[in-house]
Amino acid sequence: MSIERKNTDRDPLVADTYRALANERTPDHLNEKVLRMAASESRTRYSVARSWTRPLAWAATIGLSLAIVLELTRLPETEPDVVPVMTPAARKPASTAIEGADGTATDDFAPKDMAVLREVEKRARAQAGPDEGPAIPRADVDEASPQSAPTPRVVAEAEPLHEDTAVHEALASREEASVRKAAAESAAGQSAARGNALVDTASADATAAAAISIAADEKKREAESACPAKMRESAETWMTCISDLREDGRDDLADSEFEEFQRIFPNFVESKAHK
Amino acid sequence: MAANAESLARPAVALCRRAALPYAPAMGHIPDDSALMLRYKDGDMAAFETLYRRHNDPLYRYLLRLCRHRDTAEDIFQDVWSKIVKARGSYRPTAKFTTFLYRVARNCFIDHLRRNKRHANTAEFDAELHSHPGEQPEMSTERSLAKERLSRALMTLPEEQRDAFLLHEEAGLSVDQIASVTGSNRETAKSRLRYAMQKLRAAIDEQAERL
Repeated sequence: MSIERKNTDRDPLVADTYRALANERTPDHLNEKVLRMAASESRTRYSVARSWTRPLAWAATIGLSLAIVLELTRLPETEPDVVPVMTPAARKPASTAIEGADGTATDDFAPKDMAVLREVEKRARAQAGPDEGPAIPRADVDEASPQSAPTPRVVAEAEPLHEDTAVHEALASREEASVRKAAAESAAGQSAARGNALVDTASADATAAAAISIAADEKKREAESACPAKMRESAETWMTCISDLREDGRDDLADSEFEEFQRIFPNFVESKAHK
Repeated sequence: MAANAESLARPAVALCRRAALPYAPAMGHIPDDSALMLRYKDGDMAAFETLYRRHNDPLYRYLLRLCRHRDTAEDIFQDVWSKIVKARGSYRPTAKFTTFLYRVARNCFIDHLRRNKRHANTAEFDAELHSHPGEQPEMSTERSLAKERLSRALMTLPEEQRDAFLLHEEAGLSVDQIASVTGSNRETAKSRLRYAMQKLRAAIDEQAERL
């Protein structure tokens, strides 16, 4: 049935007649045109283009991949440069001060503190000198009247501090460290004893900060006005410096320098010229 | 059951049909059209020439009878091959190459119709095409009469039926492939082809009765 229907689709008589009718062939000029066009297209668009597009694509892919890999490997190196302030090394002074107040481990900070405290003591003595009488040796003061020497904290409060950025930074870093520590400890739910220790820590931290600020102030003053270390190497140059200070009208400073000079060179005979 | 028998019988019928159509493009030969097209895609110009020689004449006749105007047919013919050449980069052998080729040809023809609305039913090529120099006068008369009748019947066919008939006879396409090329369903393509055959057969029979 289906084969019969298929055969009805193809009529041999019609097909033969049509075959006899349709025997045209494509003109030669048309064949040439088409073949020439196909050949030129094949040469220009694919064979030539493909010869450089594929290597170029590979090179671009490899280049981009390398660039991405290099960029990714550089990223971890740049991060520490951005965050040096937050490294533990930068926080070390604050943390050591806090730990020192707790009495755990303060060896790296204690000598500096002691030196600063001595300096503060000396300055306080020098300031109090005119009211209390002539200056006496330091050892004598320590032995005779220990109460007369003010504590560093008192001196720090009494003496007006210079508005120095370095001092501010030191104080800010220490306060920040203590606040961070307090926050961390309170978040962790520490005990009340630990809270007391924290209070002590804060007060010791403030004292140390004040001492550091005074030391910085002293250094600054020294650098600005007093005789430099080079001048102090010999008695003559030191005296010349002192006389220069007197000539400049900075008598207070000249006096203190002279006191120091007498302490170092007790046997030096002052010439009239220097006087 | 009948459907199964039909599906089993279809390849055999297709093979018979192709064997009986020596002017149809050689199908199933090695290398086949898709392989040639893929080789041309890789720059093998000889493959394209083989492919072109296989399909140029049937395509030309198809366009000639579809357009009924030689110059137009030649223009469309060039346009079709130009599109085939340009499409080689994206060519995928998912369908039969002949189906692809005739679909492009048909689309080019439709585009031409749209561009030139004044495309009239002017069959200017009849006398010129049907002359066969060197034939005996009697033979020439009989043949020319038969051809003339068939040609006239072909020209009077509705465009869809003529298209189906030409695709069947020139390209050797099956009903399914005709449906694919023309964008219609199988039954529509089949009925168009059958009507075309009946009308052409009637034209030839009418001539025989007169003789």
